[in-house]
Parts: sequence; structure tokens; C-alpha cells
Amino acid sequence: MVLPFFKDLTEIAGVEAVVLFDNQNNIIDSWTIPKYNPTVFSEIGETFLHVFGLIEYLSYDMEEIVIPFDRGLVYTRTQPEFYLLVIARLSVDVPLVRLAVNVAMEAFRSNRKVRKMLKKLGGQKFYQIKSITLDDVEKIMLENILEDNNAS
Amino acid sequence: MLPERFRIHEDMIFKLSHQRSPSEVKLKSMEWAIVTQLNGEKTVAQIGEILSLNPDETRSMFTRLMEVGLLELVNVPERNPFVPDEIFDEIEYQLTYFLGPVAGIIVDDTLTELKRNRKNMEKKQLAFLVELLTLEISSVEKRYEFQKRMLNKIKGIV
Repeated sequence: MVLPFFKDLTEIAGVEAVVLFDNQNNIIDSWTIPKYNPTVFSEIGETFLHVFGLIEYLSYDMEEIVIPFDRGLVYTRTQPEFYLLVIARLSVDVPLVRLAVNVAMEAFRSNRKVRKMLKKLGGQKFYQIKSITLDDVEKIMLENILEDNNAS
Repeated sequence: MLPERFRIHEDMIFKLSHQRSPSEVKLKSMEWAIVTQLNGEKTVAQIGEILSLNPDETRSMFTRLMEVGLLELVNVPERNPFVPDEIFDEIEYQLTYFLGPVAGIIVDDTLTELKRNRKNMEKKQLAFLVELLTLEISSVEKRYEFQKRMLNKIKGIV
């Protein structure tokens, strides 16, 4: 599913992995360069599920997050039924990644089979955040954010 | 004037040389900081950004590290990093389809905002230019169509 729709994205210099997650943090499909260890995907995916879940709950108008790390970069894009994660080298051309994702996402969403599959996926991301996966600081931050949101 | 082998470009990538250890050389603290950032993946510009150095400081420190033999070049920047002229004709043609005859002016205005022109636009900025031009199109469907056409044109160039 990644390759037929996101081929242009996988061909961008520096892109090393493309992963599609459903809102339960299950991997729908993935593509990686050879010698890449895919076992880390769920852990990374869960972090972004938390972030996107909160963004969704707070109704923030934000669908993309790019975070550079010491040895690479993570580009993520959320959609109502799923989210996409791209792992790349720091040297990757981020606007080109965004352009390729924009184009691929449109084709992906308008495909008949995909639309059928997306109908089966569901569940809001926020309600998939398991408190057991949060540390104490994250729990306090989450409580504070929700309190502020409720107060306003 | 530095010899070409010592000239540092912002998209060069270095790793620590096996020929010499940093402990053999007297380094300033910021030069040490650069040494710790070398991993064969980060460009000179990225390391400068991480360490909050301006381009001149970054270049001079990399030049010094190069001179004392601590750096090994991993990649050489492209000889011609500029976008070929004809791609702008294509961008203008496609944009005219969506925006009408003002497309050429919008392309040139956007290039000016980027402090570039049709002769000195670097390939690595091309996708960003397309992104900025896309914002000029109000219809979501037309934006998608423009991006799709542009991606097909530029993916072989950048």
C-alpha cells in the first residue's frame, strides 16, 4: 500500500522509511531501505499518536509535525483515520517531502479500495492514548493542558 | 585566497579523519563542539545551525579543522547546484493555467522574496518555491493539480 501510492516519496534522496499507522497505532503498511530495523516504528508511532491525539482533541489546526534529531528527521502527517510517518536523513529536502506527501495523499484518499479500507478504520486518536504509556511528567502536562482547555 | 581543497561549502558533509586524533591538536571550545557533531551525515550548515554559529564563523572553524587534518570529506557538493532556466518556463506555463497571465509576475516576485532570480535559484530550493507558489492558488483541487504536475517536473532535477 505504501509503494503503489507513495513511490515518489520513497524515491526522494534521504528518505529511509515510510510507515502508515491506523489510529490504534497498528502499522497498516511500511516501506524501508534495506538494513533498516523496523522494530522501532511502533514506539515512534505511539509518540506521534499521543501528539496528534491531543491536537485532535484540542481542535488545533495542525496536521504536520517535523522533528529533527541528532541523526535524522521525522516527518509526520495526520489524517482523520490514520497518520503517516516518514523517517529521513537530516539532509532531506523537507519541502519536497511535503510536496510528495500532498500529491500522494490525495491519490491515496481518492482511491476506491483505500476509501473502503478507511471506512473500516476509525476511533479518535485522543482516546487511544493509554495512561500506562505516559510517564509522570507527561501525565501532569496532559492534565494541565486539558484543564486549561476546559477552563477556556 | 584558500586553495579549492580547503574551501568550505555549506552543503559539504564531513566525518572525523582516521589520520589524526583531535587530542593531537590544540582546539578552541567551539571547534571541539564541531568535532562532536561530525557524524558523516550532517552538513556544514546544519552543524553551524545546531551550534548557533553564523555562516562566516562556521566556515572559518571548518577551514581550520580542515587545515589541521581532522576532517575527511564524505560528499562533494554538486558542481552545478542551480536550476536550469527552462524549468521556470515550465513553472510559469503551469501556473498560468491556474492563475492566468499574472503567473510570470508571481514567479518573479516569489523568487525576489527568496532573494533569488531565474539564474541563481538553487535546486534544493525548488520544492520550496513550488510550495510558495501553490499558496497563491485558492482552489484546493487546483492546488493539488499544480503540485502533482510540478512534482513530476522537479523530481528528476532535485
